[in-house]
Amino acid sequence: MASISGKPPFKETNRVIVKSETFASIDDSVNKPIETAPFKTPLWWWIGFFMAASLLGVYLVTITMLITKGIGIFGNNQPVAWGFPIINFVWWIGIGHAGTLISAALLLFRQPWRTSINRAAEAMTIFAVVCAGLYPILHLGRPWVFYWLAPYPNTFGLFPQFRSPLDWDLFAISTYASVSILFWYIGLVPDFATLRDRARNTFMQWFYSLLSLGWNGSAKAWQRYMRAYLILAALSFPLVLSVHSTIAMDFAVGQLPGWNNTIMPPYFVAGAVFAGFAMVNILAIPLRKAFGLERLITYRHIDNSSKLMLATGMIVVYGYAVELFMAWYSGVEFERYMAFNRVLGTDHGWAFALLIFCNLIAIQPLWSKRVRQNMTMVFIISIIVSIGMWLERYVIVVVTLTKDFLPGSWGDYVATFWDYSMYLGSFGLFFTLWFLFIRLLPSIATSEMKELQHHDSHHGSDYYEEQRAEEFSKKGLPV
Amino acid sequence: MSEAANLYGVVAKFGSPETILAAAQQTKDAGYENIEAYTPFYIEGLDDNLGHAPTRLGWVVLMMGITGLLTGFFIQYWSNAVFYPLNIGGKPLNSWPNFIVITFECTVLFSAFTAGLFMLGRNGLPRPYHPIFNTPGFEDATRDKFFLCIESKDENFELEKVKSFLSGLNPEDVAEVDY
Amino acid sequence: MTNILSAKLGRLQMTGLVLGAIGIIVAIIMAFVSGGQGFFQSYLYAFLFWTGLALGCLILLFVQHMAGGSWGAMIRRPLEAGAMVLPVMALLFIPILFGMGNLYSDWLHPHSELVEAKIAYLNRPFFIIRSVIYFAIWIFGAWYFFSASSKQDKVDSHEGGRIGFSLKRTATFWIVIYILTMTFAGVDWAMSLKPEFFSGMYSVILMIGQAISAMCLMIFVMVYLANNDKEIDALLTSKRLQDLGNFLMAFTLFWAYTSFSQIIIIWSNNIVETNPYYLLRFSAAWQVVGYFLLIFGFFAPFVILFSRWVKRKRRALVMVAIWAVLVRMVDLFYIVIPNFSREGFPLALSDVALLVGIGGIWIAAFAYWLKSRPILPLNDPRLAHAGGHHG
Repeated sequence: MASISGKPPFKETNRVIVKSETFASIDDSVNKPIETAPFKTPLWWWIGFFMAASLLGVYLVTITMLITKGIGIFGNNQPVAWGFPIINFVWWIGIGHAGTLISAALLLFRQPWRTSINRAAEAMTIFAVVCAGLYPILHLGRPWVFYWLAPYPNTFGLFPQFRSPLDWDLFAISTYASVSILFWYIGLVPDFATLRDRARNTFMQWFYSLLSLGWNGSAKAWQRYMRAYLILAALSFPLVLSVHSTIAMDFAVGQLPGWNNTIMPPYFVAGAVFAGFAMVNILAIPLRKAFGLERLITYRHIDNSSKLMLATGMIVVYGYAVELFMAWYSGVEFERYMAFNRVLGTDHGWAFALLIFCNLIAIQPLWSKRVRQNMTMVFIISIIVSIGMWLERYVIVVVTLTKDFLPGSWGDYVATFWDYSMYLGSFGLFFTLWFLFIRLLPSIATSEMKELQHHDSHHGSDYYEEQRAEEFSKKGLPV
Repeated sequence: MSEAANLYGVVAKFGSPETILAAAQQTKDAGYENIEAYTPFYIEGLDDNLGHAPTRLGWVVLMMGITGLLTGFFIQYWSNAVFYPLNIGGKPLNSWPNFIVITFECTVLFSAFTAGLFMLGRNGLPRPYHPIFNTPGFEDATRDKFFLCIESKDENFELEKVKSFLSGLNPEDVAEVDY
Repeated sequence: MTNILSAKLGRLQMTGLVLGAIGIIVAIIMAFVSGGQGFFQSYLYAFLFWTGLALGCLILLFVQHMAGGSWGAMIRRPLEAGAMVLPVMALLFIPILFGMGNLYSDWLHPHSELVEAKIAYLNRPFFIIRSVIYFAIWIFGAWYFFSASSKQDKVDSHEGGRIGFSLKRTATFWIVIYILTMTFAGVDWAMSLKPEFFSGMYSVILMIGQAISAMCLMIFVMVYLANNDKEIDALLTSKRLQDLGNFLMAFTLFWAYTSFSQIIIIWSNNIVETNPYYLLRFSAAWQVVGYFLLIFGFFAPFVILFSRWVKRKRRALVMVAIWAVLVRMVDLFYIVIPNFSREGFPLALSDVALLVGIGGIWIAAFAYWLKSRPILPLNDPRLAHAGGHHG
């Protein structure tokens, strides 16, 4: 069994699950890092955690500034009332969507490779939603009364204006956050039970048995559990669609050229998943190395998630194309000017050019297997994609708002120091939570991996799988 | 009935999913009804082999989903069209296309929490103590061992017979478990 | 294929031709009785529906190759047969060229600045060139996958597996091509009927509609074949049937999603160029159809398909599929026909006659291609261990 330090060199593979794994070895390789005593935590973890926590400090300082001084510390103005906060909000929530897609949609489509990355991806979802959800609230100006968005009987005798997508957002995001946490927790329960039974000291036993709720793994419990899990997956899938569609409608139900596009919802969803898979790669590639999880998160997983990144990226580009074509086809002067200004405008044209580079050109190498099998390349492309997706929101929010209908009401937008510090700070929040997660909770769903192992041992390998292996070995890639 | 009032059941330990599937089938065929298996992961078909009825979770979720749907729509309709009519952009008071999103979110919220909490509740969780935990070596039930229990409340329960029956199923171990 | 099945498909082909002849003759008589006007409108409607079915088969063919899985191998032959109807549909496109003056007069003779601004795209020669290109590409795609599949039958299983693997890859590119061409085809054939209107989602709604109707066709073709062929009967396990049902459910959900998105956005932002589209469709005369689609087109099938029992029961699933196809017809009717501002009751006899007429020809061509080859691809590697319980 591979241990963390000084383990024998492991040959990389392209199998979803390595044949020689046993139920016990899966258990051990996932849970070892968690059971390490606090003072034996590896140094890289401390460095990472410290850096994340420092950025979290930046975040808290920015929020303090924001609350004491008000929204004026940001670059937001008229006409660009939605500056960085909304760009970052959309960016973060988009990242979250890949997690739900992996855990829910790929479960429904019976894709076995989802299993070893779903836990980490769901964690990513929750943390990203936390980061995202704080933005619109903080951006309100008076964040302490954000609950006015919720319908509740109050002394004003008022209710929210339900025809506004901004209120749909409240429902969509709070539902998404709570359902994601529920889904994640339900998935964790059997693994908490495993940790409880492995625990070697009282504190850990106490901690994990509390979390495991007393799970005993009876067949009846598993039967209900699986049904509930499938139902949650079936519900999460449309939920993801609805969340990012709602965010798209924040823009699309407006009359602004560049926003009032009916293709917005699906292409926003695709963009979200695109950025999300990029983030999955960014997180999973170091994670598998650091924790020695190469046997469980194999090349195959990164390969597949890169394929999905490519596919959703192409849908996003389709969205851009349709948007520009429809702007021309509409024949409306303002729409056509928007398209012109977006692509060739002198002040923000660079953003569109860079966006096309990041989201269209940079992903094309992913058609090649060799690139998808090269962890460094995938990591770099994923970072480029994350930047590209941020730029997409920049183009949609800032470029559209600066020049709308009347030239008299045009304006410009410059982000301030606090805009940047808040963005950087939100990384602090995200990574602080992430480092705590990988240290305290099993980052791979062990019970699901065991089930997959059991299932796998009963099925001869797929014909295409053999074809694939043959071809891979010819090209000198790991089989 | 049981010799010792304190006896919860007799538990056999198996080493693989295949053996417990077979053992479950044989135990059911031998006429035992209060039987249960404990496994580290979901094994397809084990509930059938034990004779467990399918769960009704889906229907409960559907009912609660419909409740959520009606609640979501009603809140919006009632507050924006009846209680405090709001004319926004000249749209009808009951602008149902604009109510769809929140209605949908409420449907999902209600159904998802029903699915999760109903599952936990019906499984009797949270439950810190369960007699099955007294089985020797039961900590492996969440790792790589599979346990089959014939409970003492079963009508055909006779300690010696049950023990010899379970031993005949090729287990790794058979143990009496107390409450 | 058994002789009985072959004979049955032959009879189906004959029935299709007879129905086709009757439908078209009735429609032509109607055209002479009431002036040519309505004929081309009905013709376009029927043409869009049946071309959509063929294109739906084409895209599902690509998708199942890409996705893998034995459910795909099982429905491959019917999908190929459906896609091979496209050459016939290309021939049937010719009458539309004669009806252009009638159907597309709003942009052939623009009388608003807004429409004049787009005559660089919307003009007769370019329209014809584009349509020829669409059909050329689609027919090539259908033929390519059809002939590769025939070739797979003739070689040994190893070579067959290699062909399957290469098709699996090519399919990805073809999906891209289909989406691009169909986007513009949707704009050209249907959206430009009201040239002021524009919506990026429009063609996507048409595409998903095509996928739904093709999936329904697969459900009842498979059940029909299973009743007549032992091998298919064994393959069409309740689990695989459920796969097809799940697809139908997912597509229905996606159709509702795209349609609702378009409604909410256009209806909310209330822009003068686009809003008339829904003002018309929400008007007293048409809103009944809208409510029908909402309740019986989406909610009812969706709730019914929620039940595993329905998806695992052949007869039940076929009933749902037939219903879903009828809903497709109504939905397309709701998309296309209001553009023509017909007076009085909107459903004309010629709509039905041509739907049946072109449908007859479609079915005849489909049956012809289906019976021309073994009903299951012989060397599809995915069928090699399809006897198991997983799909």
